[in-house]
Amino acid sequence: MTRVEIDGVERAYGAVKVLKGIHLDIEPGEFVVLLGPSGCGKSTLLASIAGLDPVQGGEIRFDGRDVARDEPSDREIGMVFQSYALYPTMTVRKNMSFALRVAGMAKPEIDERVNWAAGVLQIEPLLERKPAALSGGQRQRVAIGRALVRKAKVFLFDEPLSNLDAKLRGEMRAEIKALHEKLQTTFIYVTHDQIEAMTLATRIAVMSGGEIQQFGTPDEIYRFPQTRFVADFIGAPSMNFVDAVLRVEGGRASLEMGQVRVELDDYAFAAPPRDGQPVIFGTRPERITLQGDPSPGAIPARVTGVEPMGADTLVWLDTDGHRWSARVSPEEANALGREVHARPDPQGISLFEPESERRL
Amino acid sequence: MRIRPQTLARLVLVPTILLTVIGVYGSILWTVNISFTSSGFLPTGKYVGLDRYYELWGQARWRVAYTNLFVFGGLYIFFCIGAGLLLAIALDQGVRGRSFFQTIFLYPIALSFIVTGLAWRWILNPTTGLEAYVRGLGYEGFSFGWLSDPDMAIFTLVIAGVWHSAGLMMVIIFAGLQSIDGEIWRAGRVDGISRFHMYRGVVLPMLFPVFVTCLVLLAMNVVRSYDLVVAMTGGGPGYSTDVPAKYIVDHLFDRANIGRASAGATMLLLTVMAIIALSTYLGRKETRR
Repeated sequence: MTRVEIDGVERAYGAVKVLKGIHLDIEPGEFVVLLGPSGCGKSTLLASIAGLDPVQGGEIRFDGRDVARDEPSDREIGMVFQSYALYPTMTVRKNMSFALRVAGMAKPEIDERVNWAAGVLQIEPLLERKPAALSGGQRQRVAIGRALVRKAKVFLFDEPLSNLDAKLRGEMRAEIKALHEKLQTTFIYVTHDQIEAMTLATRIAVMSGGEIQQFGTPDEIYRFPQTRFVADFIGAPSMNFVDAVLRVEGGRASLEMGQVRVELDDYAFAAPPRDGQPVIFGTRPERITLQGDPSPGAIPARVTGVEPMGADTLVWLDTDGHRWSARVSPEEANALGREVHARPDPQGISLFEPESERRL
Repeated sequence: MRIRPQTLARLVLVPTILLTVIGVYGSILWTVNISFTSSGFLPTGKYVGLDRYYELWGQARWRVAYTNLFVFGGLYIFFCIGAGLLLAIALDQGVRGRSFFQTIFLYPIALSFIVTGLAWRWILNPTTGLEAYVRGLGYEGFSFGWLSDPDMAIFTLVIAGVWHSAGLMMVIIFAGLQSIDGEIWRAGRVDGISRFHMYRGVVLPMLFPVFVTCLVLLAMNVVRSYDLVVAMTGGGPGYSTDVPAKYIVDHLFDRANIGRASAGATMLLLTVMAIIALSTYLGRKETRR
C-alpha cells in the first residue's frame, strides 16, 4: 500500500508542453484511472511515474519519498505494457524470474516467489511455456506476474486491454479488478476507454491538453462534471448542450432558452447565480423525457433519427439547430411522432460558464 | 479442351525446372562421375574407383587447402559476426551521426574481393605498407611480416576478409536490433535489468534468425573463397594459404587434371552438405526448445 503524490509535474518536448504542472494525490491501495483522448498526456504521465520518461519539474512522492529522479528499477513499481513486452525467447517461469536472477537472488527464494505469483494468477500450468504459445489474456497475466515477483508497491498499466477483442476485454477487466481487490496494492491505469475507466476505477483523473480536468469517483465524474470537456468526453453519446440565460427572480433561479423556461430549484450552484448571466446548459440523453404535447419546461424538437440499441433506443433530435440525443425505452420511441417536446430532468442538469467552461 | 490454371502454371515452370535439373544437378552428377575416372586434360579416362580420392588425400597441398577452409572460415565468420555485432550495438546506443558511421563501415562491401585482396596485399607488404610506414615514424624495430610467413599468412586473409564483410554484418544485425519493440527495453528498465543483461539474455536470443542469415551469407563467401586468395597471396607462400576452391581451379585449368579437380570438388560438396545438415538439425532443435 503506497501513497502516490504527484506534485507539479512538468514535461515538455521542445516547445510542446505535454504535462503542465500535474497535481494528483493518490491514496494507498487506490485504483486510479488516467482517462483522456489520445495526446492528452496520460501515457507521458504514467511514464513519468514509472521513471521511463524524465520529468522537468515537480515531485513524484511514493509514501513521502521523492522518486522523480530515481531509476525505474529503484521505484519498486511493476508495469504492464500494451504489447505486454514479455521476453519472447524465455519460458513463462524465466520471464518472471529474470529480474530476480540478474539481481542475484538465491534460487530457493526465486522459486518460492515465482510459485506464489503463479498461484495468485493461476498460471501454474503455463510456467514452462513460451509467450508465443499463450493467449492474449494469459500473456497479460504473465506480465502482471513479472511485476508481482518483485513485490512491486505500485502497479502501472499502459492501455493493457486495447489489443484484445471485445469479449476478452470484458473478461480481463473483471480479472484486473479482482486482482486489485486481492492485492490491495495501488494501481494506476491508463486508458482512453471510458467504460474501462468507469468499471475499474475507484477514482478517475480525466486529462486533456496536459492538465487534469477532474479527479473524482466515476459517479462524480459522470453526474457532476466539473468542466464542459469532461461532460462532453464522458458518456456515449455525449451530453447535450445549448446556450441559455440565467434568470434570478425572488431568490428562485431558472433558465431561459428562447421561449422555454426550466426551473432550477434543486441545482447546487458553485457560485451565487446572477440574473441575465449567459450559461451553457447540459443534460445527459437518459435525463430527457420525450412527449408529444407541449408543456412548460419542455423544448420543442424534431426527430431526425432513431437507433434501437436493444435495451433502450436512442432518439436523435434537432432542437433549433442543435443536435441532441435522448435515451428512451423502445415502447416510448415507437409512440413518437415527428414533432416532440424534450423535457430535461431537473435533477440531471449541468451548467457551465461559457468563458471558462467550468461548472457553475 | 480447356487448360486448367494449375496445368498452365506447371507448363510455365518446365523450362526452369529443366534448366536446374540439367544445369545444376546434372553438372554435379557429371563431376562426381569424373572424379571416379583417370581423366586428365579431357574427360575421357577409364574408371579407377576411389584412386583419385586416395591421391587427393595423399597430397599435402590438398590437406593444407582443406584445413585452411576451416581455419579461414571459422575465424572469418567468428570475427565478422563479432565485429558486426559490436558495431551494431554501438550504433544502437543512439550515437550521433549514425548514418555517417554506417556508410563508412559498409563501404568495403562495395569492393570486390579482388580489390580488397590487392589493397591488403599492399598494406601488409613489408616494403611498401604498414611496416615501412611505422618504421618511417621512427620505430626501426617494428616488423609485421605475416604476409610472407607461411604459418601466419592465412591470418592476413582473415584480416582482409573481416575488413570486407563486417560492415554488412553490422547493417544486418543493426536492422535486427532496431526491430526490437521499444516496450521490451522499457520492461527491462522497470525490471532493473542492465543493458548488458538485456542484450545477452533477451535481445540477442531474439535475433537468432538474424544470426543464421549472417552465418549463411558468410559461409557462402568461405566456400567460394578464391578471388581473395588469388589477389592477396596467390595461395602462397608455397601453398600455405591454398583453399579448396583455388586447388580445384588450378587442377582443372592449369594442371590439366580434371579427375583430381573433380574429386576435390566432390569433397567440397560433401563438406558443405554435412555442414548444412548439421546446421539444419541444430536449427530444428533450437526452434523446438
